[in-house]
Amino acid sequence: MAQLEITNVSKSYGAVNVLKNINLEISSGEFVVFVGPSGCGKSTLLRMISGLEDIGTGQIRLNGQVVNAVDPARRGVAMVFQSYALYPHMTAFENMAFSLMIAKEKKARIKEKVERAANILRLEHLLQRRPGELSGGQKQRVAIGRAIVREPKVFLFDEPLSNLDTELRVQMRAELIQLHDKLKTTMIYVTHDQVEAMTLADKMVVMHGGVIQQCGRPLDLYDDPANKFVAGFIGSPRMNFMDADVARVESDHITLAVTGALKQFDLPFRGFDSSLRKVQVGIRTEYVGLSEDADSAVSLPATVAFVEELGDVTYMHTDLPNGERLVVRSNGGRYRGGKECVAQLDTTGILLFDEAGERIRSAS
Amino acid sequence: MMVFPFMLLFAVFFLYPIASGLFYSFHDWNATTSTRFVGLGNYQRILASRDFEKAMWNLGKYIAITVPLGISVAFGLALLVNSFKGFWSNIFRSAFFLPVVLPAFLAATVWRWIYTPNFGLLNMILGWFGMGSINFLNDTGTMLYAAIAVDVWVSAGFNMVIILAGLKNIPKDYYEAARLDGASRLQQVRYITIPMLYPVLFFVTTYGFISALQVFDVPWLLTGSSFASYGGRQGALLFPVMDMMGRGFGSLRFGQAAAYGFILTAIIMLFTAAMFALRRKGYDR
Repeated sequence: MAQLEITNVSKSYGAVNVLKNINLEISSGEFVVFVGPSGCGKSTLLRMISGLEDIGTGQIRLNGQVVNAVDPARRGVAMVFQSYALYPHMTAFENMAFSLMIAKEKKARIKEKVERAANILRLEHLLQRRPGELSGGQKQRVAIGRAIVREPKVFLFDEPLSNLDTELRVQMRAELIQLHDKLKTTMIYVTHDQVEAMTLADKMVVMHGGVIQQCGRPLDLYDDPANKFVAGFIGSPRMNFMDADVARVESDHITLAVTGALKQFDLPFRGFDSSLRKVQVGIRTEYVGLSEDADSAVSLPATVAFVEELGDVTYMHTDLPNGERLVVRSNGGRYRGGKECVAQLDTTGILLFDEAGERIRSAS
Repeated sequence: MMVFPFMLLFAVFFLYPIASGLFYSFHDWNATTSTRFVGLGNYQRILASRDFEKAMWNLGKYIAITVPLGISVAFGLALLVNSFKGFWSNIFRSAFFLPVVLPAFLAATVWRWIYTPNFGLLNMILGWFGMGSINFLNDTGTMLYAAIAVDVWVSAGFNMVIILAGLKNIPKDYYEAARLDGASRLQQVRYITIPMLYPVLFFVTTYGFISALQVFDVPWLLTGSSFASYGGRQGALLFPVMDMMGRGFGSLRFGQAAAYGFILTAIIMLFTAAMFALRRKGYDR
């Protein structure tokens, strides 16, 4: 049975619908990441689970119990805020002990619980410091410690790493994964960073425009996106998209003419809707190479606009004759100069989308 | 050269008055005859006078009630205004700030009417509950409290605006974290709002102390005082600044008035130093 069930949940602020008919099930112990661009409704959904935001319509159930009208403190959830929300006038110990002090726990019990959490997060030596005397990473750990001492059924993280520098984010990501392994508690994490989502999530929920676009394991979403938004949002650099005309439809393949390509090419495909005359071709950078000649099956003349050389990988951002941008990835390769080139598409990596952006799948 | 104009103005309008005041405080002078050096005589006469004792006693009681009461009322009003948004917030804020911009004589006139025996608003209300008429501004048991009520009414709006600005600076996340931790509204005020407002509360408390030490206009106007007669019945509303003014412009003992000014300045400086020392102690803790 799902630990958290969100059923037909919607939310509006005046005339603006920020969440539209959200349905989601989260199992006990799962690490779920809500990911999407700013304003997609992911933080609102998290705050509705926490109780800090009223639920417009629909139901949220926690362990089978409807919690729509339950006070935030009684839902059994703990939240880690983007700003850490550590009280500046209290020490790390007092911050972590605050909920227990409010609940009138005995002092010895408070000390035991705080020290246990501090031990998990390696904070023992920082307990007497105030937030102003802690680094960003330490503050974040204290904020997580404050959540741990409450022994919640569900941890909620609202973009907790966005204030940290890149190195610290990577380190904290690893620590969160270890923490999840140790506590085995359900964690719901909100981020706009798809790399963070990919690395942390057991289950990723991609949101856009207040709607869940797709939900599943990170690599499933990467390999098999449900629509153009998910395909473009997941993966860095984003997937390349090109317009194509459907030249011929056969029972086991279709023939596509990509705008700007030197030749038409066949793509294995079963059950293609022959009424579709135009499609969008999506292809990830790892399926696009560069060549000096133009003999291969799918070759597109391109002009190198700029190059990102990262050492282990080089991304060449090229412009196609019709003005579309095509990013080519070269593992370990080095850019040798030159503007004009021919991009080669490996057709095994091609995904098709209709004009509305929905995925067109081949019949199995 | 660039600072010369400033130094000149500073010398004429600050240093000279202070120096001449200090000079007169050691002299007997009634503005018509020449000065006569009396050493610490003026200071001794003031400190030994019954009026000074009465004024300081009134001031002590006045400060002990006005400062905590004034700040509590202002804090309560700030919390109230902060709980509203938009139109109602503006309406309440303006309404509570109105007494601050009201001229003191107008405020005193309004309150003299409220306090009037028999026909005054307050006595009318008390009458509804079967209570007899009270002469608030002539009964030595009520005069001080009547003046305190007016002063709190006048000053609350100013302190409220400052506290309100402090409240607006407390991040919303703190309250949300506290809500999730199970803190009630009252606990949120106790554990988050008040500690987060310490610097603001320190300012309004210090300012409140300094203002209270200089109390003059409201009791002067409420009692219809003049330099010939001031401080109300039996000196129930006699305060140091009033006593100082009376000695100067009433009895033409300007030397004593100057000495009084320096005694008051010393008291204000001591209070302020004590407040800063307390604050530092609070930080160290």
